[in-house]
Amino acid sequence: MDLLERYLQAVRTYLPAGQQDDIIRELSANLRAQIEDKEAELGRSLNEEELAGILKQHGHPLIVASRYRQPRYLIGPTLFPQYWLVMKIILAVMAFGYGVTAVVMLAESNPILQVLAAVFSFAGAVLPTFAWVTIVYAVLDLCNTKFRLMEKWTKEWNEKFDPRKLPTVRSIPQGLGAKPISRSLTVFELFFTSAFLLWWLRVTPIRKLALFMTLGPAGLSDRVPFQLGPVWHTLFVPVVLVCLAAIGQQIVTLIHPDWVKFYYRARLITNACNLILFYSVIRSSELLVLVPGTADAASFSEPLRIVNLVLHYSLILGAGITILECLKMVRRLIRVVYKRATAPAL
Amino acid sequence: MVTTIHSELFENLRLELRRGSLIIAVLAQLRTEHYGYALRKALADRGMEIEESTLYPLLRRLESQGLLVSEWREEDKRNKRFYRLSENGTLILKELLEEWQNMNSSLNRIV
Repeated sequence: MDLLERYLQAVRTYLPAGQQDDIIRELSANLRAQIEDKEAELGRSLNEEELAGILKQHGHPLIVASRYRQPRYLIGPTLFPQYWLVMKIILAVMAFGYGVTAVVMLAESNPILQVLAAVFSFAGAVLPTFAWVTIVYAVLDLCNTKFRLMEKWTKEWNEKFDPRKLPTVRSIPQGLGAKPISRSLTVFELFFTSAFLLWWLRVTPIRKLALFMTLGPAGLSDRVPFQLGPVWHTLFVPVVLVCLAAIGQQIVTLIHPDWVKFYYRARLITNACNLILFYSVIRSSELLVLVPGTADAASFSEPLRIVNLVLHYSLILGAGITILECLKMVRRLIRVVYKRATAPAL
Repeated sequence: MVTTIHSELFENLRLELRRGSLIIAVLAQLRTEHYGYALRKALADRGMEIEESTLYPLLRRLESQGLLVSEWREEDKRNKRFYRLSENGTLILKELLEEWQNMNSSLNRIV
């Protein structure tokens, strides 16, 4: 019976403190009855292996003890969806705030490394935010369980609920392959389009950041001997116009994420414009040229050729991706229009 | 893979279906007094197998809800905790049985 005592001791470890003696006493009586029953059936005492078999069948001590506890949650299923939504909103607002701060810092000519440090401090801020929101909701859940708040509120909401006050059906019904455009995706696009426009408008710190990202610390040097070739200057105004159009579309999508057809059409048009721009640039062999008056120009000719080659193939790759993006937009647009036309009336 | 998912899904649904039925079976069986292990055997003899680690905590929960009463008593020179249906438990069992029979009739008409 030493094995039984050891088993009961192991179960006791995981039981709620106030009930340990009572539960173990009862469990012990039941297991002893089961063992005696088996012994009566066999007409002899159980050997260690048979006893171990009974205890194994009864279950692991941790699992057995857990069945005596009430299920406990930090945040229960009633509040969890709301908790998760609030968490996503707060983190999105923080990400946007940090993004804007980074752009402002760049515009104010702060050192690039200082700006990058500010951006990376976002990761440090996420953890305490995550912890605080979780603590607040854990306390709310505790109050909810103790005072049955949700039960009372649900009753009140049900009494006040009037289906006639529900908002009108959106222009494109859900479930037809036309989900609203993700706001976080739009914020992401808006941020990068704005950053590109600032770079294009020759906001120096943004240019430095772009050089840092592509060339590493060498890009921060004032002695970079390359500059954009003449083809880029002819495209200055069209690029600004396409960027402004894209930013306009992104702002509209941010306000009305359910304007899916508008989103696909606008993206199709801006991508088509981008393709024309890509075509104009790819035809040129001088994407970057040496800054006039560079000393020892001959020694830079080979690096310049390699950089131009890399840029050339990068632009071809970019054009390919844009074509795929156009096809995707056309396919989605057709699907939305077709399904909408054939969808049964709701 | 598909078979595994299928059997897991079936097992989850089966457990969900059994959960409520087990309570009715336990309450009904405890119209006669039993201690834990004897109750498990009695249920198994009638085709309702139930794990000890599920049954024993369930008995304590039903007692804390006022549906069962228990007392420690000696039997075969050993102290055991005997459970039986309380007055409130008897009323609840009656209502549960009616509900179960109504549901059963409806299901029979549907399937």
